[in-house]
Amino acid sequence: MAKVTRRRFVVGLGTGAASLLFSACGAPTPTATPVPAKTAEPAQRAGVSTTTVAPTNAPTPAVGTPPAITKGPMPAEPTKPAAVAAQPAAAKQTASIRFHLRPGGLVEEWFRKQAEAYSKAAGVEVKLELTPDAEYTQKLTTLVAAGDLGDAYWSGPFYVFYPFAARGIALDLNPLVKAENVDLGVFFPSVIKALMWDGKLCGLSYGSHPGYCTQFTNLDAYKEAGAKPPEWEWRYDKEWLDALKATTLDTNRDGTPDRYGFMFPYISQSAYTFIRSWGSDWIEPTELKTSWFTQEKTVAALQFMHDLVHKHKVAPPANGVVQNMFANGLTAAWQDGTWDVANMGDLIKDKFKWQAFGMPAGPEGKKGAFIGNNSLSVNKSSKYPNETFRWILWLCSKENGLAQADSTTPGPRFDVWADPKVANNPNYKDALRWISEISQPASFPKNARVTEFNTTVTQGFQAFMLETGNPRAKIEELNKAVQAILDKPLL
Amino acid sequence: MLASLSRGQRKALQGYLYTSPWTVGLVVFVIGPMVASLYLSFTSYSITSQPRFVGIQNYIYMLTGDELFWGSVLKTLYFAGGVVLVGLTGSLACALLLNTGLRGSAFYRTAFFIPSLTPIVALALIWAWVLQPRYGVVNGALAELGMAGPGWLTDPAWAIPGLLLMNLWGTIGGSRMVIFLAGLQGVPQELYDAAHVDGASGWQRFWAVTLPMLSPTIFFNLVLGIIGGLKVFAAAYVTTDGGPAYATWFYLIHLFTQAFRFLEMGYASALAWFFFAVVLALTLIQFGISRRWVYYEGER
Repeated sequence: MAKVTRRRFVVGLGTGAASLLFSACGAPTPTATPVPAKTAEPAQRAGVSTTTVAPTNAPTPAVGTPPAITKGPMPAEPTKPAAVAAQPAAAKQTASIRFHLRPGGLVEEWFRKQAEAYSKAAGVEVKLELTPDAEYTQKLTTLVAAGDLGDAYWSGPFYVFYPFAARGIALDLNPLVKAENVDLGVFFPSVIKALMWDGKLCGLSYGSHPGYCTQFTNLDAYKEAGAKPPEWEWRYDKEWLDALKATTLDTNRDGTPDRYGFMFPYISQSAYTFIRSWGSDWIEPTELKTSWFTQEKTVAALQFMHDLVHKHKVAPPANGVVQNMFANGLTAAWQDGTWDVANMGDLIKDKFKWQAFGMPAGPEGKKGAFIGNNSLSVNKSSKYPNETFRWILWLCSKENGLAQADSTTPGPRFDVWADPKVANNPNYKDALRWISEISQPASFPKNARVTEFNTTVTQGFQAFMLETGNPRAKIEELNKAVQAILDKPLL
Repeated sequence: MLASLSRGQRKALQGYLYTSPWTVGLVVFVIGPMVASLYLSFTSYSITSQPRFVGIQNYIYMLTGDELFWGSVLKTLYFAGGVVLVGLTGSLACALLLNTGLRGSAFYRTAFFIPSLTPIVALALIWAWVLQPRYGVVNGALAELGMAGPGWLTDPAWAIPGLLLMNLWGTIGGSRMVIFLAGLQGVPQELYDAAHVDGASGWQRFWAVTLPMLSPTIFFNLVLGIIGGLKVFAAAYVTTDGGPAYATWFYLIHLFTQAFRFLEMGYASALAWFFFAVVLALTLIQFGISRRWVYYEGER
């Protein structure tokens, strides 16, 4: 036998390790999986499959009369978790589904209970794979690179939803919807539109919100200032601005109010509500390849926000924002979303009376925001697409949509919002009109670089809001940076 | 087969087997990924697709096309400069104080060292409250003195000083101070005695005895301090996330964001290798210059 020298040993070890490494690196990227076959029994009631709509970015509607909740396309019978239990085929399965989500509090607990219940009802094991929020995107993309992504995954517009949809990692659910006669008409149409990518339905949502369209209002502060509570017809530049001025308090007249009339988060999404309410957009909404930050109406919307801070001084500057300003009475109103309705009472306790209203309309009477989904997608490489799809349906049922209202935003279904639990809550009154008729899917880059776009817009928006010399120059810079992202190839 | 090996060969094989867990770990988990990232730095790779070779395009884009690159470099240098200058001086000052033999010095050493044991995320979250513009302790104290405190972490002009304050609180009394203290205790007492006999003042003793004798320790802390300062990431990631308006967009925030948020793994690899090259060059330069000012007792 040849002598084992140090050199030979190290070379052998290195070669072996390198082989291991390269074989690991060479793990297959997800490939197309045949469209799942039609299951023996439909998962849901017999119903009419709704033809899905190609992604559009329709202009935001003008303020109109509120729709009665029963006017929407109410399904004859909503999706029910119990329907899964009625499937003999599913019950015989011994499938095991891996489901990726973020950990945390009530939502995690709720998912655990649902997984147990679904396992009992359908005979399908659901393994929850929890990854902290800060690592969620990298964990899932790494799993994709390793060919080891689980069967289903939670996502959102600023996580992996769009990159995975664009790269064909998410299964197109349309064939399953048809095969199982699922009626997508139970969901708000804008929610379904926001789940589409190139005509493919890339997920379903168990909890959706109509963006930063909610104005949490300190009713005591309004009463004290002699201002009426916000009304649906209010315009930003008229009644709304008057109320902000009235509720801003600077008792010692040092130029720094003790209480501001309004506060908005210094992030892209809050600005988007203003931009759409001015009848514009941040990206040209049809081709999704051109930045619109220098469009006249977009500039006007941003300038209005700038004026709230620097001219009217009714909102705190970016460097004057502190946590929980609204709950601590440091601002009379706060731009936020439906996701905080459930928790606001605990935060404010009995410090003051409050209520959630919708944001006002722009100068031309338009309102607008985007749809944010807690989307659930099926991995195209899943061995159990049917079972995984049913698991997702289970989570998107009416009962579960109502349960969501206890900790975050209610499920995005007509029947959830028609239920007395939600319908009788005055804090959801305006939000219903936003989610059912106003908010539309956001215009996001055609190349799926949503996170890059969002980060750039947020940082650029902050720079604009902090600039007092030549704010217009900051918009030009932002426009250039956004266009550079839109010019890049598909992620 | 083993029987055919000589006693020496068997002993050698045994040794290799004992070290193999570490060796395999080094090759597979350190050298392997480094080689892979070097290759990826010449590709366009978004993780969800296959790498596509683009030559030195990533490096060209980094130096000429990336609008955030040079800004992140300057901000990182600003932060590292602060950490090195104030941190090194502060740690040395603390060590000198603790080396005077004052009563209860063991307690002070422990008290100074404790902040460095705080996990960086916990430290960052606590300091975010301490530096809060309206309710924070720091601005509260400034208000008592009749001064209006700035928007630490929320004002672009003050965000890096705010992070510096946070970093220095956690590191001045940490391992750097302990290393200085060890260095100080290694300075021979007879040198001080001789200087004292010659009539040297306290300042002269420090300048002519302590500093030269401590120069290897200073050099060691300087090298590590510069590397540590350039690696600033966690505190900014937790508290400001690179903002406001890119004010704390440090190099590693840029790198991390490109890799794990924008999924530009090829470009991020190029950024990583550039960083490695710069840190290596800076360290080599320091070693080169050190011959002129670092005094090793055993050398002439």
